[in-house]
Amino acid sequence: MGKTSLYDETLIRRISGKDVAAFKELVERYQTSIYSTCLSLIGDYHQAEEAAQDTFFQIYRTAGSFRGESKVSTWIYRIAVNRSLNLIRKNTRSRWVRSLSLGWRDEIKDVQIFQGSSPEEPEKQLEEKEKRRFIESALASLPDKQRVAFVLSKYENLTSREISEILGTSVNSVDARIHRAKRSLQKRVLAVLKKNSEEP
Amino acid sequence: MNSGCRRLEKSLVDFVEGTLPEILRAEIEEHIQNCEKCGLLVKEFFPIWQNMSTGERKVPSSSFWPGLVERIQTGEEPQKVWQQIISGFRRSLWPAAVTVLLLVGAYFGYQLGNIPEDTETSFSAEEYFVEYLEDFQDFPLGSVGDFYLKYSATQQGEAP
Repeated sequence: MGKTSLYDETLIRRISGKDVAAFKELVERYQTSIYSTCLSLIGDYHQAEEAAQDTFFQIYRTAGSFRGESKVSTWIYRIAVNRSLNLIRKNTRSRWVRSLSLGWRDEIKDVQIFQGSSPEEPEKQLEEKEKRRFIESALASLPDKQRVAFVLSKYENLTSREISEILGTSVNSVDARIHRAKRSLQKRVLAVLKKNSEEP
Repeated sequence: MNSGCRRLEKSLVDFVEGTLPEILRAEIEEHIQNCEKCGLLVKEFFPIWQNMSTGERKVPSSSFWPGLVERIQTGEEPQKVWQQIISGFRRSLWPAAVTVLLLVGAYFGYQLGNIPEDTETSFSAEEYFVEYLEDFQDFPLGSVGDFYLKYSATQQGEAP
């Protein structure tokens, strides 16, 4: 891990000298993580790509001001999270309305999603897609701070300490947000499972 | 629903993730073995939670890098001098306009409220009357104006 971090710093140093090859290498290294993070936070493919591009563009412009006080990855994630949250707040359609509209569709189909089907059935792919939409809807229903902490912890496998450095908050605060996010998501899944069990 | 079921529901995520304290985990496992409903709940919940807690890795589109390069090239193009001047002018235009409006408004407000006192115009009706009559001293004798002049003088006790 130490060698990778040092190499990241070398890339940043070269990028500050406008080395495009070094920049391309950094982008290739982090584009999937950053894009996936933005997508999990924003929930829209185009906007997630826009946020990810904004992130790397800012890195290119400000690489010279990186002082090495944190890891390069921490710095990149911090920019990506801030960009994503700014984009979410800019959206004219509120997150609540979006989660409600997705939630209604998924509420209706929730019973069908988790009733299970055999792998041989041709609707298997559709079911997987609906499951994914349910998860996206559930994530979208979380408050921003909880969603960010949960996504960085579960999807990016970052430690609480790393997340606390990215968000500029305490480790305890991060743990509390993750705990609350899990409770909220559990409650949502249990509601669907209970509805399933009540259906004839 | 008994206390065992409630305890499971409360700790379901931690149980599935294996982060419960050993004693509590053992109690819940024993309960699951004896409670068919809770056993089924865990069986159904586990794969859903696994899906939910492992995010889908998505790769950006093929236009991601070209789009980024284009942004860099556009962002790095130096502005011509006249473009810089116009850009600077536009940036400062609005605050400058607001400042000028405020100053003009303050000036006019001051002017409106600053009416000077005219101490030389202490005016009385009598003075106006006398001054008015003096204008008529040049009327020819025997004329109507002369008549009225004499009339007013007799009323005031003055000889014409």
